Amino acid sequence: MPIGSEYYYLPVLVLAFLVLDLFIDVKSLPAILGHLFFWLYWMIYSAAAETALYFLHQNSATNGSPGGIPNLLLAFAAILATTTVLQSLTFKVGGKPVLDFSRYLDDYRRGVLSSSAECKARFEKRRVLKQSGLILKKVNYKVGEPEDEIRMKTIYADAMLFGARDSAIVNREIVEIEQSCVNSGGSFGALVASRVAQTDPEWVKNFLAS
Amino acid sequence: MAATIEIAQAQASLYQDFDTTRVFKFILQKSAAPGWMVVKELGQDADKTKASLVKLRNLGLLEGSGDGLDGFYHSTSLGYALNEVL
Repeated sequence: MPIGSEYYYLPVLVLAFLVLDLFIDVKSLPAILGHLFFWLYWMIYSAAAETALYFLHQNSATNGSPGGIPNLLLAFAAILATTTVLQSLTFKVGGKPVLDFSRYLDDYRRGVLSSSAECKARFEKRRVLKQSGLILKKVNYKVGEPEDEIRMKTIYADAMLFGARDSAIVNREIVEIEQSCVNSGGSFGALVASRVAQTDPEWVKNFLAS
Repeated sequence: MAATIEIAQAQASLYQDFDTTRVFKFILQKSAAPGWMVVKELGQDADKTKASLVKLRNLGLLEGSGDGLDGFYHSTSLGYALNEVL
Protein backbone atom coordinates (compact mmCIF):
# COMPACT_ATOMS: atom_id res chain seq x y z
CA MET A 1 0.00 0.00 0.00
CA PRO A 2 1.51 3.38 -0.99
CA ILE A 3 2.06 5.84 1.89
CA GLY A 4 -0.27 8.83 1.56
CA SER A 5 0.93 12.42 1.91
CA GLU A 6 -1.09 12.76 5.13
CA TYR A 7 1.47 10.53 6.87
CA TYR A 8 4.12 13.17 6.08
CA TYR A 9 2.22 16.26 7.19
CA LEU A 10 0.66 14.65 10.28
CA PRO A 11 3.79 15.39 12.43
CA VAL A 12 3.48 19.04 11.40
CA LEU A 13 -0.15 19.09 12.54
CA VAL A 14 0.90 17.38 15.80
CA LEU A 15 3.59 20.04 16.25
CA ALA A 16 1.02 22.82 15.77
CA PHE A 17 -1.35 21.13 18.24
CA LEU A 18 1.32 20.66 20.94
CA VAL A 19 2.66 24.21 20.54
CA LEU A 20 -0.89 25.58 20.88
CA ASP A 21 -1.48 23.41 23.96
CA LEU A 22 1.73 24.55 25.69
CA PHE A 23 1.57 28.15 24.48
CA ILE A 24 -1.49 28.77 26.68
CA ASP A 25 0.79 28.29 29.73
CA VAL A 26 4.22 29.40 28.51
CA LYS A 27 3.33 32.22 26.06
CA SER A 28 6.69 32.09 24.31
CA LEU A 29 7.34 30.10 21.14
CA PRO A 30 11.17 30.11 21.38
CA ALA A 31 10.94 28.90 25.01
CA ILE A 32 8.71 25.99 23.96
CA LEU A 33 10.85 24.96 20.98
CA GLY A 34 14.16 25.66 22.69
CA HIS A 35 14.73 22.40 24.58
CA LEU A 36 15.04 18.68 23.91
CA PHE A 37 12.18 17.53 26.19
CA PHE A 38 9.63 19.19 23.91
CA TRP A 39 10.99 17.47 20.79
CA LEU A 40 10.91 14.09 22.54
CA TYR A 41 7.31 14.79 23.54
CA TRP A 42 6.53 15.66 19.92
CA MET A 43 8.17 12.44 18.63
CA ILE A 44 6.15 10.24 21.02
CA TYR A 45 2.94 12.06 20.15
CA SER A 46 3.67 11.89 16.40
CA ALA A 47 4.38 8.16 16.54
CA ALA A 48 1.09 7.59 18.38
CA ALA A 49 -0.80 9.81 15.91
CA GLU A 50 0.72 7.99 12.89
CA THR A 51 -0.42 4.68 14.40
CA ALA A 52 -3.92 6.09 14.95
CA LEU A 53 -3.97 7.33 11.34
CA TYR A 54 -2.97 3.88 10.08
CA PHE A 55 -5.86 2.26 11.99
CA LEU A 56 -8.28 4.91 10.76
CA HIS A 57 -7.21 4.17 7.17
CA GLN A 58 -7.66 0.45 7.75
CA ASN A 59 -11.09 1.03 9.24
CA SER A 60 -12.09 3.32 6.39
CA ALA A 61 -10.92 0.74 3.78
CA THR A 62 -12.72 -2.14 5.55
CA ASN A 63 -15.99 -0.22 5.73
CA GLY A 64 -15.52 0.78 2.09
CA SER A 65 -16.77 4.31 2.58
CA PRO A 66 -17.76 5.74 -0.84
CA GLY A 67 -15.28 8.33 -2.12
CA GLY A 68 -13.30 7.96 1.09
CA ILE A 69 -12.93 10.46 3.96
CA PRO A 70 -10.76 13.51 3.12
CA ASN A 71 -7.17 12.87 4.23
CA LEU A 72 -6.94 16.11 6.21
CA LEU A 73 -10.04 15.14 8.18
CA LEU A 74 -8.50 11.73 8.87
CA ALA A 75 -5.31 13.43 10.12
CA PHE A 76 -7.32 15.63 12.51
CA ALA A 77 -9.29 12.58 13.68
CA ALA A 78 -5.96 10.79 14.32
CA ILE A 79 -4.71 13.65 16.54
CA LEU A 80 -8.02 13.77 18.42
CA ALA A 81 -7.99 9.99 18.89
CA THR A 82 -4.36 10.05 20.07
CA THR A 83 -5.06 12.79 22.60
CA THR A 84 -8.16 11.13 24.04
CA VAL A 85 -6.52 7.69 24.21
CA LEU A 86 -3.25 8.96 25.77
CA GLN A 87 -5.16 11.09 28.30
CA SER A 88 -7.20 8.13 29.57
CA LEU A 89 -4.93 5.12 29.14
CA THR A 90 -5.10 3.31 32.47
CA PHE A 91 -4.84 -0.39 33.27
CA LYS A 92 -6.90 -1.21 36.35
CA VAL A 93 -7.09 -4.42 38.39
CA GLY A 94 -9.71 -4.71 41.11
CA GLY A 95 -10.69 -1.08 40.49
CA LYS A 96 -7.18 0.17 41.27
CA PRO A 97 -4.85 1.54 38.58
CA VAL A 98 -1.85 -0.77 38.14
CA LEU A 99 -0.41 1.09 35.15
CA ASP A 100 -1.54 4.68 34.70
CA PHE A 101 -0.04 5.85 31.41
CA SER A 102 -2.12 9.03 31.42
CA ARG A 103 -0.42 10.07 34.67
CA TYR A 104 3.04 9.45 33.20
CA LEU A 105 2.08 11.56 30.19
CA ASP A 106 0.69 14.34 32.41
CA ASP A 107 3.89 14.30 34.49
CA TYR A 108 5.99 14.49 31.34
CA ARG A 109 3.86 17.36 29.98
CA ARG A 110 4.42 19.28 33.24
CA GLY A 111 8.14 18.58 32.91
CA VAL A 112 8.04 20.07 29.40
CA LEU A 113 6.16 23.11 30.75
CA SER A 114 8.71 23.56 33.54
CA SER A 115 11.66 23.28 31.13
CA SER A 116 10.00 25.82 28.81
CA ALA A 117 9.48 28.18 31.76
CA GLU A 118 13.17 27.76 32.72
CA CYS A 119 14.09 28.61 29.14
CA LYS A 120 11.87 31.71 29.35
CA ALA A 121 13.61 32.74 32.59
CA ARG A 122 16.92 32.62 30.69
CA PHE A 123 15.43 34.84 27.97
CA GLU A 124 14.27 37.26 30.69
CA LYS A 125 17.83 37.44 32.05
CA ARG A 126 19.11 38.23 28.57
CA ARG A 127 16.47 40.94 28.17
CA VAL A 128 17.47 42.52 31.49
CA LEU A 129 21.14 42.44 30.51
CA LYS A 130 20.39 44.04 27.14
CA GLN A 131 18.10 46.73 28.56
CA SER A 132 20.58 47.53 31.36
CA GLY A 133 23.30 48.09 28.77
CA LEU A 134 21.01 50.34 26.72
CA ILE A 135 20.10 52.45 29.79
CA LEU A 136 23.79 52.98 30.63
CA LYS A 137 24.54 53.80 27.01
CA LYS A 138 21.70 56.33 26.80
CA VAL A 139 22.81 58.04 30.02
CA ASN A 140 26.45 57.78 28.90
CA TYR A 141 27.24 56.54 32.39
CA LYS A 142 30.79 56.76 33.68
CA VAL A 143 31.71 55.03 36.94
CA GLY A 144 32.52 57.47 39.75
CA GLU A 145 31.18 60.59 37.97
CA PRO A 146 29.00 62.37 40.59
CA GLU A 147 26.63 63.74 37.92
CA ASP A 148 26.06 60.30 36.43
CA GLU A 149 25.45 58.82 39.89
CA ILE A 150 22.79 61.47 40.56
CA ARG A 151 21.24 60.79 37.15
CA MET A 152 21.02 57.06 37.94
CA LYS A 153 19.43 57.81 41.33
CA THR A 154 16.78 59.91 39.56
CA ILE A 155 16.13 57.08 37.11
CA TYR A 156 15.77 54.66 40.00
CA ALA A 157 13.32 56.94 41.80
CA ASP A 158 11.28 57.47 38.62
CA ALA A 159 10.96 53.76 37.90
CA MET A 160 10.60 52.47 41.45
CA LEU A 161 8.05 54.90 42.89
CA PHE A 162 4.83 52.99 42.37
CA GLY A 163 1.86 51.78 44.38
CA ALA A 164 2.10 52.47 48.08
CA ARG A 165 5.88 52.92 48.01
CA ASP A 166 7.12 56.30 49.17
CA SER A 167 10.40 58.16 48.66
CA ALA A 168 11.74 56.96 52.04
CA ILE A 169 11.58 53.33 50.88
CA VAL A 170 13.18 54.19 47.54
CA ASN A 171 15.96 56.19 49.27
CA ARG A 172 16.62 53.26 51.61
CA GLU A 173 16.94 50.92 48.60
CA ILE A 174 19.38 53.35 46.92
CA VAL A 175 21.52 53.36 50.08
CA GLU A 176 21.40 49.53 50.10
CA ILE A 177 22.56 49.41 46.47
CA GLU A 178 25.40 51.86 47.25
CA GLN A 179 26.41 49.72 50.22
CA SER A 180 26.31 46.60 48.08
CA CYS A 181 28.58 48.30 45.51
CA VAL A 182 31.07 49.27 48.22
CA ASN A 183 31.10 45.67 49.50
CA SER A 184 31.32 43.92 46.14
CA GLY A 185 33.17 46.54 44.11
CA GLY A 186 30.40 46.57 41.51
CA SER A 187 29.18 49.52 39.50
CA PHE A 188 26.32 51.55 41.02
CA GLY A 189 24.97 52.47 37.59
CA ALA A 190 24.95 48.86 36.38
CA LEU A 191 23.09 47.67 39.49
CA VAL A 192 20.49 50.45 39.23
CA ALA A 193 19.96 49.81 35.50
CA SER A 194 19.60 46.07 36.12
CA ARG A 195 17.08 46.61 38.95
CA VAL A 196 15.00 48.98 36.81
CA ALA A 197 15.07 46.60 33.82
CA GLN A 198 13.99 43.71 36.06
CA THR A 199 11.13 45.70 37.54
CA ASP A 200 9.51 47.33 34.52
CA PRO A 201 10.45 46.51 30.90
CA GLU A 202 7.76 48.89 29.60
CA TRP A 203 9.17 51.81 31.60
CA VAL A 204 12.60 51.06 30.14
CA LYS A 205 11.18 50.98 26.59
CA ASN A 206 9.54 54.38 27.11
CA PHE A 207 12.71 55.76 28.69
CA LEU A 208 14.85 54.56 25.78
CA ALA A 209 12.37 55.96 23.26
CA SER A 210 12.21 59.38 24.97
CA MET B 1 1.83 8.96 45.26
CA ALA B 2 4.73 11.08 46.58
CA ALA B 3 3.78 13.89 44.19
CA THR B 4 0.15 13.73 45.37
CA ILE B 5 1.28 14.17 48.98
CA GLU B 6 3.54 17.07 48.00
CA ILE B 7 0.66 18.75 46.16
CA ALA B 8 -1.63 18.31 49.18
CA GLN B 9 1.07 19.74 51.50
CA ALA B 10 1.65 22.72 49.22
CA GLN B 11 -2.09 23.32 48.91
CA ALA B 12 -2.50 23.24 52.70
CA SER B 13 0.45 25.59 53.11
CA LEU B 14 -1.02 28.12 50.68
CA TYR B 15 -4.49 27.91 52.23
CA GLN B 16 -5.49 31.43 53.35
CA ASP B 17 -2.04 32.80 52.48
CA PHE B 18 -3.48 35.07 49.82
CA ASP B 19 -0.30 37.11 49.22
CA THR B 20 1.79 34.02 48.46
CA THR B 21 -0.98 32.55 46.30
CA ARG B 22 -1.09 35.79 44.29
CA VAL B 23 2.69 35.67 43.79
CA PHE B 24 2.49 32.03 42.70
CA LYS B 25 -0.35 32.69 40.25
CA PHE B 26 1.43 35.74 38.83
CA ILE B 27 4.58 33.74 38.07
CA LEU B 28 2.47 30.95 36.54
CA GLN B 29 0.69 33.50 34.40
CA LYS B 30 4.01 34.96 33.20
CA SER B 31 5.66 31.48 33.28
CA ALA B 32 8.90 33.24 34.35
CA ALA B 33 9.51 36.58 36.03
CA PRO B 34 12.12 38.49 38.05
CA GLY B 35 11.28 39.06 41.72
CA TRP B 36 11.17 42.85 41.35
CA MET B 37 8.63 42.59 38.53
CA VAL B 38 6.35 40.68 40.91
CA VAL B 39 6.65 43.53 43.44
CA LYS B 40 5.65 46.16 40.88
CA GLU B 41 2.93 44.23 39.04
CA LEU B 42 1.19 43.08 42.22
CA GLY B 43 1.84 46.33 44.11
CA GLN B 44 2.94 44.32 47.12
CA ASP B 45 5.43 45.20 49.82
CA ALA B 46 8.96 44.13 48.79
CA ASP B 47 9.70 42.28 52.04
CA LYS B 48 6.39 40.39 51.91
CA THR B 49 6.99 39.41 48.29
CA LYS B 50 10.49 38.22 49.17
CA ALA B 51 9.08 36.07 51.99
CA SER B 52 6.45 34.64 49.60
CA LEU B 53 9.12 33.74 47.03
CA VAL B 54 11.21 32.00 49.70
CA LYS B 55 8.13 30.07 50.87
CA LEU B 56 7.19 29.01 47.32
CA ARG B 57 10.76 27.92 46.67
CA ASN B 58 10.88 25.90 49.90
CA LEU B 59 7.60 24.20 48.95
CA GLY B 60 9.18 23.19 45.63
CA LEU B 61 6.63 25.14 43.58
CA LEU B 62 9.15 27.59 42.16
CA GLU B 63 12.75 27.43 41.08
CA GLY B 64 14.91 30.47 40.70
CA SER B 65 18.34 31.67 39.82
CA GLY B 66 19.64 34.31 42.19
CA ASP B 67 18.50 35.25 45.65
CA GLY B 68 15.51 37.18 46.94
CA LEU B 69 13.94 39.78 44.69
CA ASP B 70 16.97 39.90 42.39
CA GLY B 71 16.31 36.29 41.31
CA PHE B 72 14.46 35.07 38.21
CA TYR B 73 11.69 32.61 39.03
CA HIS B 74 9.76 29.97 37.12
CA SER B 75 7.30 27.26 38.06
CA THR B 76 8.37 23.65 38.60
CA SER B 77 6.47 20.52 37.53
CA LEU B 78 4.96 20.43 41.02
CA GLY B 79 3.84 24.04 40.60
CA TYR B 80 2.05 23.20 37.36
CA ALA B 81 0.47 20.17 39.05
CA LEU B 82 -0.79 22.36 41.90
CA ASN B 83 -2.17 24.88 39.42
CA GLU B 84 -4.44 22.15 38.02
CA VAL B 85 -6.14 21.68 41.40
CA LEU B 86 -6.14 25.30 42.64
